[in-house]
Amino acid sequence: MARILVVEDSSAVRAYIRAALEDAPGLFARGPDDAPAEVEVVEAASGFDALRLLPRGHYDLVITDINMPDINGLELIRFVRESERHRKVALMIVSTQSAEKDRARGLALGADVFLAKPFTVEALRSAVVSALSGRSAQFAAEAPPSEGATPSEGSR
Amino acid sequence: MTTESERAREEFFSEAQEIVEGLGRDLLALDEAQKSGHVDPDLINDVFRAVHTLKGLAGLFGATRMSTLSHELEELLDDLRMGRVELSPPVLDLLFRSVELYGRILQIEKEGREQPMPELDQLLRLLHRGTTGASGTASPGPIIDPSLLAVLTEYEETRLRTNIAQGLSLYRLRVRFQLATIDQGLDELKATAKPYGEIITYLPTGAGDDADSIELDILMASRASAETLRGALAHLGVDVEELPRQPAVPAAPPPPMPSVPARPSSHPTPAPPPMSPLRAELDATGAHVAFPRGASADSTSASIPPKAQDLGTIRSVAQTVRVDIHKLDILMNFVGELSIVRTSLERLLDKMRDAHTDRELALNLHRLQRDFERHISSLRRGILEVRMVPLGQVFDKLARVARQLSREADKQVNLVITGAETEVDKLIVEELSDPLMHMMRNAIDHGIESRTRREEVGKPAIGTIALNAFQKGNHVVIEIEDDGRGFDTERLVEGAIRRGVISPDEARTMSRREILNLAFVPGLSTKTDVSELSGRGVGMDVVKTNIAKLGGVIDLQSESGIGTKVTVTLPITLAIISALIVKVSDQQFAIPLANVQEAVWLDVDAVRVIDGRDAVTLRGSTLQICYLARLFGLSEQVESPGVGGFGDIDSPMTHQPQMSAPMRAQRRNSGAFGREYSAAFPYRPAHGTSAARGGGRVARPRRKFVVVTAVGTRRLGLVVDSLVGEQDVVTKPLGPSLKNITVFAGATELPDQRIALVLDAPALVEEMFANADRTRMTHGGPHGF
Repeated sequence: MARILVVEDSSAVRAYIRAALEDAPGLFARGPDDAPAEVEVVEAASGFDALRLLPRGHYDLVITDINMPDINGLELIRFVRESERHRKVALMIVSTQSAEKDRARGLALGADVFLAKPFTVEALRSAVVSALSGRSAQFAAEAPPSEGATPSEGSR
Repeated sequence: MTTESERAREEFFSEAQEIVEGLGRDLLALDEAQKSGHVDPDLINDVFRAVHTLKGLAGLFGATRMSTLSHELEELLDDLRMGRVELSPPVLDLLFRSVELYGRILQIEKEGREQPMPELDQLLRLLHRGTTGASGTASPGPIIDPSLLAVLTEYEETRLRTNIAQGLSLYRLRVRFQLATIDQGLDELKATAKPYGEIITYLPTGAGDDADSIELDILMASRASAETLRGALAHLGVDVEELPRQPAVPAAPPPPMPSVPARPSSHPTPAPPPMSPLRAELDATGAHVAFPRGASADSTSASIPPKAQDLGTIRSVAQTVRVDIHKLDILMNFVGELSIVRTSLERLLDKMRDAHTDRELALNLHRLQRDFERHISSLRRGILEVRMVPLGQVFDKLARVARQLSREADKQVNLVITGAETEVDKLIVEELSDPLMHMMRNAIDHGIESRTRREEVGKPAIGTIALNAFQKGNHVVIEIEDDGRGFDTERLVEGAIRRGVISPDEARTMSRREILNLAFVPGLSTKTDVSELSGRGVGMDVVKTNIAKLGGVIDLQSESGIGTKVTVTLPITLAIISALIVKVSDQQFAIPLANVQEAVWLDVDAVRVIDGRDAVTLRGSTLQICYLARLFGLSEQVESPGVGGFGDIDSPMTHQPQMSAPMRAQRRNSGAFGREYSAAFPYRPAHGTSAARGGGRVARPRRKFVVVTAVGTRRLGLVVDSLVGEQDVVTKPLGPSLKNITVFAGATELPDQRIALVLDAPALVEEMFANADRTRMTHGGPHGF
């Protein structure tokens, strides 16, 4: 079960991402018991929406656009990375922003993956899987087992 | 990927459509701004973002043409917002053309058609030429704190540098918002701050980490002093601090992300590139802007576990949903069905009350029935409200057309719009676009004179077109008024005589209003040379037909040399109408209540024949009347057949051969003055009617009613046998074989499960008056209507 927050001002793009992730049976299953509702996608239409949703959401992954009004994706990334509470959240940028500067800034601020728009459904899925597993592997390595983690991997 | 991805695709079309519409609006605003010489950078950025989003969407959904166009446009717009290209009228033209093309591309994509678009290739070439050769990026400018720079997009950085270069001061506005009300709070802040300068970005500080509120640092450039800003924003709880400009290289700035945990080297994703380019800039000489960090470090230890019970409650955050209008139609149909149930219930109640069986039960049922009724009408109102959209959607389109046409015709036009917020049923708005567009073309092409001509006659050189909308009862009125040359009535009359529409004798007796109505006759145009602008073949007659299809009427006022005003009156909705159910012979008909003024007894002896028309005098004025039974070829009722008599009739449709004959007039050739109509109108007097009109006495046990219908300024009395009652009806279209019948708007089901035809009052009034004119013209005799 993975909880994913999609921050994107275009509702069609949000719908596209939701469709790609929800229609992928078995993509997020980490074991045979972790079957039916493997992914839960929550949508935020702006950076502020994301700020509103973040504190209560307990997300595993935040997928964000960069070029959004008011709070841009970079600011959101910094906010998430600077907050102890969201420390473990994996961060993925999806943006058409071809400008190398913005991409570099996003990664410098602590995003895990940058996925350039337009992307295929397959590219999105594999990027999501790699962002999630990369993040959870990282915390599995540093976190003590007392956090209730399963022995193999992942702390969720 | 089936339903989900289909939904996503639908979403794509409606969102793209919405963005393109918004783009059109922004461009109009940009056009205004460009003329006034002050362009708001936010506006250019909005346009950029719109195209940017379109590009992203097009890429995801495989809309190649849209993608290519967006790509070229995005480059141009990027140059514009970064200040590399100046916003000039030719650039604006390119942008306007792009918006039109987007519309067409969307249409083609939606229909899944494959068709070449040479105009797209042409525009792409132009765009490409426009963007290549753009000079390099904005100058590096002053030095900015890299920790700040790190979270700015390239655009925000450019705005920041531009503002600093222009000598504006930088301020940090620190404010705390409750998450629940952040939108309102932010809007208020934006509106208050806007006049003082430009907001560059919003940074959540992460300080005082509680789950219900958030602290923001807002970076703003302004010419105002810190004191002024403080005064202006104090009531919003904003703390204003001016960011110092340091003359030289300062001490090393705080590390960019002090609270981010160290990244393990085993991290699988690409390593973040070093900050070196920014540092290099920092090391250069120049002013330095330091951006004090928020107290975010305080929050690092305050990790609060998420509230588990909240997890399930947060699903989607969007406040609006898009709904296919047809789904609303289905809902509305249910409301119609419910109304039928309600009326049946009412009947049953009446019977129960008459039977005096169980008074208490009847009373309770009555109360229940009243509740039911109230809720149905709330439900109906609710659905109708959902269907309503502001006319502004069409007006924006009209404004774009007006701009384009006035440029092409080289006439300067000032378009004044009022009432864009007036709401109309979505379906009506869609259908309105073409007729209104045509009227706008007429106003610019035929109405507004050339600049020189206007100066000659002493008018202001710039023409004015007013586009007004307002609600009037259950109707919406749209006016297009120009201060141009007005209709040339002499040429209208000449043309009509030449084409044999009217005789020279009639021309002499026609009122001004009647003459202006000639403009709606197919093929009669005041201009002999068909202009490129108004197009070929589409005249005011088509406009009138289209408006009539929506249940509306169109009215023309014009003064030579002063201007023309076209008034369109439309019902607010088509979905459900209140109707008066009447009985003619053994058939029931529904007359839209919106067109009904009153119903009165018919005094047969008072019927006079004036000018070949039957008429009565109603409160001192003459009212033309029409016997529906005769019009529809139904036998006039002499004796009520009783309820049992209806048994053999399933629906009025079975009477089609009988009643469709007089109505067979095709819409195409039944214009107000169409002569073909008379041939296709075999007037069939039903038995015993001639005596009635002559005032002679025939056994007639039942008094008849006159239902006074009003359409625009015309009134017509419809003679019916009896009034059944008022009823909300959902009009359903007639089948394809009946669609050419002009005087019926459709059919509806009544509570007794019988079908009633819904009269199209405007069409009926039109036909009657046209028919009377024809009778007067060709025969002058007393027969006919």
